[in-house]
Amino acid sequence: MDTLPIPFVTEDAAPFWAGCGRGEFLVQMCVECRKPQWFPRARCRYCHGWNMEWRADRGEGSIYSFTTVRRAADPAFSMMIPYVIAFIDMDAGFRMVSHVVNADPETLAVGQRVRVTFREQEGFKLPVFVAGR
Amino acid sequence: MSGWNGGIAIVGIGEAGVGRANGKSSFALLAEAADAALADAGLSLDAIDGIVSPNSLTDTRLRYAQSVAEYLGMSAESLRYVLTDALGGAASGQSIHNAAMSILSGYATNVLVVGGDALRSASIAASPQERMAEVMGHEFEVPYGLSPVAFFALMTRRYMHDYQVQPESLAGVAAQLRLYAADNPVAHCHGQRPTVSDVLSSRLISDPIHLLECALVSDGAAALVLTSAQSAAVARKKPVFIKGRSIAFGSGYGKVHEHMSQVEDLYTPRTASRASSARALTEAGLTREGIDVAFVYDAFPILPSLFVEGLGYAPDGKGAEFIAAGNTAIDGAIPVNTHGGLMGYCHCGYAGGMFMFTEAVRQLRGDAFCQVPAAKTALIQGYGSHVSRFPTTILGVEA
Repeated sequence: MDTLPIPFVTEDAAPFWAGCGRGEFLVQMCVECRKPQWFPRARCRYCHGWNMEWRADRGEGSIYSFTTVRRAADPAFSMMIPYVIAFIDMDAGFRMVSHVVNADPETLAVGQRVRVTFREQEGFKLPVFVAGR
Repeated sequence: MSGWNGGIAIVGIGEAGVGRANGKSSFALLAEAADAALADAGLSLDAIDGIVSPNSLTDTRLRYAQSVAEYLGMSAESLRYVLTDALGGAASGQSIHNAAMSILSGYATNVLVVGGDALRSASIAASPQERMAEVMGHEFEVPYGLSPVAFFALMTRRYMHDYQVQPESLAGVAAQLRLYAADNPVAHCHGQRPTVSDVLSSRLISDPIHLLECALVSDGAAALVLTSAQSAAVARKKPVFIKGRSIAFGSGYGKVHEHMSQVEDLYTPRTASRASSARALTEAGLTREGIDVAFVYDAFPILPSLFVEGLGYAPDGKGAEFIAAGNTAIDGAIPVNTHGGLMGYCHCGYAGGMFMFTEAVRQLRGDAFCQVPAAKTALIQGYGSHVSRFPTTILGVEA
């Protein structure tokens, strides 16, 4: 029962997850207003256009905020403790929640540069981040 | 007065099992709180034709309010309005607003708002923390184990970074707000006076948040009876009137969200409470200076810190210091959460915010344990639904 949760893949975001499976970080862009959209959706939240496209991205950004979880709400994560959850400000123009996986939490800082990598989680490739310049 | 300013009154309040249920079920607590509120109002259950309930963390039935009506044995012949407000922490404020709306629209005449849970002692399959984590986004949040406490830790860290706030100030918020509960014999944490150093030496849950900077896990239930101002004229006790209300969604600007990680501005409790309270005060014909006692949702120190900023009591970035320095104590600039709040009085899950309303009514009746002298107006700033809903309610002694 305590297996780690995997993403519930929606039709809207299926191409994103397919990209992760290939080791690519795809960003959804609105063809009409050129804004990036996170989470991926069939329709643009900003200009309400339906013409969306995917663009390969370097998957880099900086830490907006982070926390070291020492007591997991979901018991499945207990084996991972302590682990770092962060808000990442992606260079592509949106903010996402993920893990920072390689760093000593004591040395992490707001503003630190991170880049994407993919962690195998119950057979799924999940985008997580590593600290580094 | 009529409509939202003075048209609706709270005529009865009741609480049950605050802190510890002593073996009673969640539904028994709700029934006990409902009985107390009805007795306080001088009304029989058959006079109630509407019921509104926040949803429950221990019983996830969708039609929860109807389950409560079934348990209470409400009359099918007289009942006209039943609503479950599945809105997390915001359910308390929204339940009051929805109950008032049902009366203003003529749908119902006397409405019972009742919520609570034997959250601490009920035997449930999943912990309350796990239940709250389960309702996160299943595509981009649950796979990372995002939970409310982790989210508020992210908010707290950024606040400390942007405004050079020291851990002692946030721990001071927890210590200060718990003092009201320490003095209140009804409170879950009666008699407990953790110091700033006690707070900082309690274990880290999700840093920088320590155990004593978290809402309690309590048993408890609260109930209120609402009716029209006309009916309130013959109420048993001094009625307390709704003077104004509003709600802000999301940050109060930009786009609405539901997922916690989709929030556009991490300081959304400040921006949203600023927008919502301004509208509510205008409706009430009041200014901030006219408020005698305030209540803010205080699940973690970052929330009341941002709320006292949003409500205009402290400059941006100074909210934690403002509270830690004693400005919200009974003799301070603006007494806040005089019952002891979610960290000291009772956090029985989604209905924890109900106690802000029962205590506000006690304050305006002059019946509170830590009484603000001659309090005539109260402002209640709610929070909930993944930092997406911020209902404000203003109560007063005059219609």
